[in-house]
Amino acid sequence: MDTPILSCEALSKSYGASPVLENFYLALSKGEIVGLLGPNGSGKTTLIKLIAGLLTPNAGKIEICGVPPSAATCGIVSYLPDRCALPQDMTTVELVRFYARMFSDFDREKAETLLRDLRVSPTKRMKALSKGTREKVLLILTMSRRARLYLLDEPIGGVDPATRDYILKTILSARSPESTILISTHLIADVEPYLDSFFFLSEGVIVAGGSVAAYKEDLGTTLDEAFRRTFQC
Amino acid sequence: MLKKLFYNDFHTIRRRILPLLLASLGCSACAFFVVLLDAVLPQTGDIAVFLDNTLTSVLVALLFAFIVLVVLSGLHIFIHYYRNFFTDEGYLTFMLPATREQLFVAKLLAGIVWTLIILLSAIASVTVGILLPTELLMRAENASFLSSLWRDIFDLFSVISIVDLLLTLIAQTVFIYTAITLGSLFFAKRKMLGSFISYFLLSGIISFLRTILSLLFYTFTDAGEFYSSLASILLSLSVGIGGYLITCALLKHKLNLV
Repeated sequence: MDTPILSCEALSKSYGASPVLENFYLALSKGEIVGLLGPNGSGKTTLIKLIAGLLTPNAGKIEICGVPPSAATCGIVSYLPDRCALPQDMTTVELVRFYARMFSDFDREKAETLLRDLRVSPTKRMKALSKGTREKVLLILTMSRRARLYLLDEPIGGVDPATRDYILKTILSARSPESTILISTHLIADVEPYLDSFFFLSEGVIVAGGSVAAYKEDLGTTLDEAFRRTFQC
Repeated sequence: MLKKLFYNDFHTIRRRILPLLLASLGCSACAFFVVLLDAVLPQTGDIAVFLDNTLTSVLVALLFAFIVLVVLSGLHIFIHYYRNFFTDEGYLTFMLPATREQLFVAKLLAGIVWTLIILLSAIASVTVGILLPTELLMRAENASFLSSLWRDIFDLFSVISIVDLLLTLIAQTVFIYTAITLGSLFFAKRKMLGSFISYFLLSGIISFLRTILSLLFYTFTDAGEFYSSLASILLSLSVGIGGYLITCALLKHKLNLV
């Protein structure tokens, strides 16, 4: 049996006295696009940050290709945070050079093409760009890596609908078949056509999950409608 | 990877510090010309008054530029460390394919190299701005006074005291980085305040150790510059190594970017 690209076993994380994830289990195979879906505060960002190695779990273990998060796994994991992590006084050109220098799997040509297509100025500093444009730049740089695992935390929330379509069609569809994408988003209707499988997360616990096609066939409804029903206020 | 990280940190700090450095050297160049003019032009009437006032202003500006250069450069170096690790930029930094030790050492090396560049340029500023024109013009009193001053200063810097100075510089940088790390990881909502509190707490501990060490050396050895420098070197090594180990352990096992 192939080693899962990602596995989480008995994972627990609390912020002070508040548990966010408790005894959490997850395994992802290679080549899938997986939707991590849940309401605000359900633990999606915490889970993604634990996998990225930016948070230390209170208990349990995480393995990426059989190895705990480390400098080696950073070389095969491409992470898009839910905030702008780019240094504000660098220009787009400088950032492309930075990524090319630091990541051996970075596709510089692809990044430059995407930046040109989305009409991002190469010479303006990040602080001079709008919030949406900064998010586009970060997304392009993240997806221009030929990573084994992509962790995308709200990748399309801050961009306009036209750009959203472009990103989903061009970037998500053009990924390597060996790569796995874990995408956390509220815009389920937009990403649903691209997802292979999904998890509904509520208060750190998986309440539903599996193949998107099978789930839709069983329930006779879209994932978006199922989400609304499951997490109805 | 360490080379790439160092290159990035060095040039990021350069962007902020280079304008200050150039301004300081510019003041030094102005001082050079004013001192020359002061010597060349006749010292009579209004010219003398004008030259005296200009010379005073330029020397004050040079001193001010030197202080600003040292203070702001130091601030930039430490702000870069904090920003790159403990703000949103940390989401990118800690996803680079590098160990926490490499990330830390790159910043430490960049900080130390820039501190040395600033110190050397400050010495060059004073030398070019004041000493050099005076020496060139062979104004006997000032030249011999300043020359003997520099000779006395350089005589103080024996090999052991240069080693002591370098190690103190490294230890002090590590120490401040450690304080920033402690403050940022344990005072999540008040990172700056936490860093200052950590700095003062650590300073207190180090001052206590320094006192104990000095007492031991003065009690059991003949008091002298050599043993005093040796005590200082030992303390700097302890602070530097201890700070490095603590910081790397915290970055590896206690990192929680929220």
